Amino acid sequence: MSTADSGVHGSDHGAHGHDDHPVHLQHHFDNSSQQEAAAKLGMWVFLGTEILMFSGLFLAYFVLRGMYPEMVLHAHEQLNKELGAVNTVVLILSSLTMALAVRSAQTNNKERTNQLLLVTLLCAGTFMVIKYIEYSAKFEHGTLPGSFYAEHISYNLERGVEVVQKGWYGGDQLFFGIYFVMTGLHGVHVLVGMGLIIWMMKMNHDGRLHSGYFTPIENVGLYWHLVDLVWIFLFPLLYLVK
Amino acid sequence: MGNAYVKGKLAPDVDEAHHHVMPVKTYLAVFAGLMFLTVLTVLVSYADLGSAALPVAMAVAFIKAGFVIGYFMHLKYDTSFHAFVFFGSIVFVAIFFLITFLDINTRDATHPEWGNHAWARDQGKDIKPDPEEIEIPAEKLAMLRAKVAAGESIEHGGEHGAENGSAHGTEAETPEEGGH
Repeated sequence: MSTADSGVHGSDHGAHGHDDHPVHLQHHFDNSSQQEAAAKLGMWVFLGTEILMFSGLFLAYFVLRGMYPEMVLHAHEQLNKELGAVNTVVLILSSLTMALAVRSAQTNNKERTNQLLLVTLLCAGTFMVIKYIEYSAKFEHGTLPGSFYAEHISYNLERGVEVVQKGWYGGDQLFFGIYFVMTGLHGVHVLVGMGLIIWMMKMNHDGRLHSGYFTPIENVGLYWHLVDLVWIFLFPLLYLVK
Repeated sequence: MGNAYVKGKLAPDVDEAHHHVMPVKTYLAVFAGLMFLTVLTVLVSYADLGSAALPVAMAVAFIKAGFVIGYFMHLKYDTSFHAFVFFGSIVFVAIFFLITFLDINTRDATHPEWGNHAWARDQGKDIKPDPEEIEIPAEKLAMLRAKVAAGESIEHGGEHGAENGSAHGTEAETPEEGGH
């Protein structure tokens, strides 16, 4: 078994002769199966920690909802159900194209993998643009978390004043606090995912993803589906609650 | 090339890929199912289900999650150890929720003075303040007046469904309504 100089030799991707090994196999693994098993297990453990992280926010949401049910009902009416629903469709569509991209990498369809990753990336971009539209509407209206909360009510042009409702404990500011933190953390995950998808497009372009080795794209896919999963719960809880 | 052992036996072809590849049709069917459930959950939210609304919405979300985990994430065909790791984390989430709610929901009963609202009550922070009037900067005021003179709406972001921040249109500007 050759050791420290892995990756230097073995120019042929599928090669695994007696003294040779595939380029993707790192020297500290015995073989590809072991490497893949380790990478996938690591990914699933990471996804478990992601769930634990988001669970804290979901718990905060439920506690808040239990303490101020009427406030949550009132505040959530200010979110745009339609845009939230469009984002749900966009994200689930991107999950489909991501899953199909992994499949086309498994079946050595390099061109198709590239196209599907591009569609996934565009969906992610669409999601973020819609999120931006939603956020800027909230910013303009003054429905911000905590002490930043200053809801615009109306203009009185005769006296030259804007009538503004400041926040109070138990008021809408609490709902927008949890809304911005949850969707914000989710949005950061989408941005990270976009970076990972671009990375996968590069790897695919370089011919480093194929039926013998597709663990990277598979793990990025797992991450992307988790981002979708979180949104599947965020959407009904934040936008549709009754 | 090192020898690989699976359950104590020499395993041949460890560098060959033996992966389960799902047909495209399955992926499309799962996607269709997810779309159907999304439409369902939105429609259900318009029906007044009262206290059943949250459990129904959560049930639909869990079914959707099951589809994504089982098929898109391929867990149905994956090593069961991965499922164990993943669902193991969910067991701990359940413990987290359970213990927190045991605390939160029993506070008022055991120590009323420690109740959830006690701090805000003591600080006088739980009272909704009257709306404040904030002077509009001269430039913005001139712009708003010009808009009104031109017959354009200057109100944005109504109660619901006007997220794009422009041309809301339905609420005409009414200077008299200030301070309601």
